[in-house]
Amino acid sequence: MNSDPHESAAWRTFGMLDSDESASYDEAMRQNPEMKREFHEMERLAAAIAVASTTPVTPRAGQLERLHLRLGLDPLKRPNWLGISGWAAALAMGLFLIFKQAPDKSDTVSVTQPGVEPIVLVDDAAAIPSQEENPIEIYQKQPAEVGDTEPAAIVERVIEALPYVKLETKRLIQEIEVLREKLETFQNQDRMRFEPTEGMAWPIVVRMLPPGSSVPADDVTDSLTLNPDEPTITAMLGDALASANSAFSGATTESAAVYDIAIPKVDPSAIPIYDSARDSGTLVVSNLPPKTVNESYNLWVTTEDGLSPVHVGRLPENNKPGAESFDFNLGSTKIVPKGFLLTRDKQGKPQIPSERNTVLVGPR
Amino acid sequence: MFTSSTRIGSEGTPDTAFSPGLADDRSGETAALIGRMAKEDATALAELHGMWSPVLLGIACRMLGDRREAEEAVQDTFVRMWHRASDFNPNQSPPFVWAFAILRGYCIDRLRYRHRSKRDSSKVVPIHLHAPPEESEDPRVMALDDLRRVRASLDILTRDERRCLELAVFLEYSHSEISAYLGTPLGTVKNRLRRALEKTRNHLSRHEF
Repeated sequence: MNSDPHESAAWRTFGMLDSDESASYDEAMRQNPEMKREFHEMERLAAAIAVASTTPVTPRAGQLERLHLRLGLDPLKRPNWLGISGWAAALAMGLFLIFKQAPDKSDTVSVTQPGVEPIVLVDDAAAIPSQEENPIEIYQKQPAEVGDTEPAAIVERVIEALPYVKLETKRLIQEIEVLREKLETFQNQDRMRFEPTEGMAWPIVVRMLPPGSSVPADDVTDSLTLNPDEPTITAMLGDALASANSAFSGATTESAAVYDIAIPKVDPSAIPIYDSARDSGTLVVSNLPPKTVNESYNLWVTTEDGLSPVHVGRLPENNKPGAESFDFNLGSTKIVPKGFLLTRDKQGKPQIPSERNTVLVGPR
Repeated sequence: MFTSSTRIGSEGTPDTAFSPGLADDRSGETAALIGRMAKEDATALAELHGMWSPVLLGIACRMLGDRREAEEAVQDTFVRMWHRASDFNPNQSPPFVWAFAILRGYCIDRLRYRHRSKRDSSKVVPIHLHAPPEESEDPRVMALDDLRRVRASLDILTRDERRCLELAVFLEYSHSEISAYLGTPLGTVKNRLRRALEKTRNHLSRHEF
């Protein structure tokens, strides 16, 4: 705080006073015109210092237009070259028609026929060319001299047609705009769909069913690439998750019994989801047939080259009914799976998948 | 408490305020444009934008140190001016001082939003110790003789005094913040600022054109 009004005005202008001091100063300023004047002078000085010690920076193009947009003002009028070009084309076409149709009339004058007087539609007989004149010259002179009233009629017709031309031009412009928007939408979709995302790739999703079972009619494709837009995948995962939830809720014996009664028996199935980019997969199994204590389930993958299936590993012991998921990876095998197999073998002795021991297979 | 006490003159110089009319709109052109803006005349806005935006953008760049943010601040300033044009009172402050106050408020708000340690943009946008080139001056922003007087008054300041004054004008640093920023004792900062203001005021009072 300072009793010098100049300094106080300066500190107030520069924002150096705290809120209480500012309020006190403002109150004093209201009662004392001299202080008010000091304050306004200091504001002028601050603005002058700012201008005097700053180099102007030219704004980038489009700032004023942005401002107009923000304020909801009409942009400044600019020549609409597209519209002008349309009108110019119409005018050129009109003039072309004028000059094209006018000679057509005189063309009936058979200057090529010897002995026939050329018929020229002019009032002034003196303007009739003599036969010695070059017929081409005659032809060339006609447009300027023949039928002054006819071009006016043509122009009139052109003017009559102009609204239609204008409408058509407007329609075409709108159509172009719509097509451009559609193209942009498609381009954006493609960009979203195909833009590479680091650490991500399309995972492989397969439905595994028992070897002899029939494929549901609405599930013809049992091997597909994950696409969030595909309802089939959503349904598949939804089913698996629903089963998993049911299995979770069936932790108590009582609810498990209810589950067994309420849910009809369904075929075993499994859905392996494998992300080759991260070598990370999850196998969701449902309703696997019961096994003996000395047995275990083994997961295998088949490859493109048609060689023997590669053993991925043994499924951990699962005593829960319903569905359960297991994580897996292919580790050092570096293979991209073509298919998956689930076999039931003796504990610790996985056998190459065959008709005898294969429980689930996919795709089929 | 603030009182209208007798002014403290320095070195026996006459204690007069700097000449009236500093940064005044002498032709009345800009005040007329603001009047038209109050009537929602978009062309007046365009004219004012063309006239002021380079200077305002230069100031905002200097305060904020970021061109994009400075452009936003200038846009906000013109939007505010458009909406408040009818409240503008030319008797209270000249048009450009009014615009500068609005811009400064926006810039200070943005600076406060940031962390204090990042407030000084002088590292990004260098502070010009010498006057900008003559051709960049626009008499419609500020009369040329006013500009020259102010520049001359700044030129007589020591480097430290000018630095303190600029930190106060552009960045609204408090005494203690200037002290911390420059690594100078608080009392020294206050003295420098006080001296800078006295010198500037006295110079402007003596050298009326």
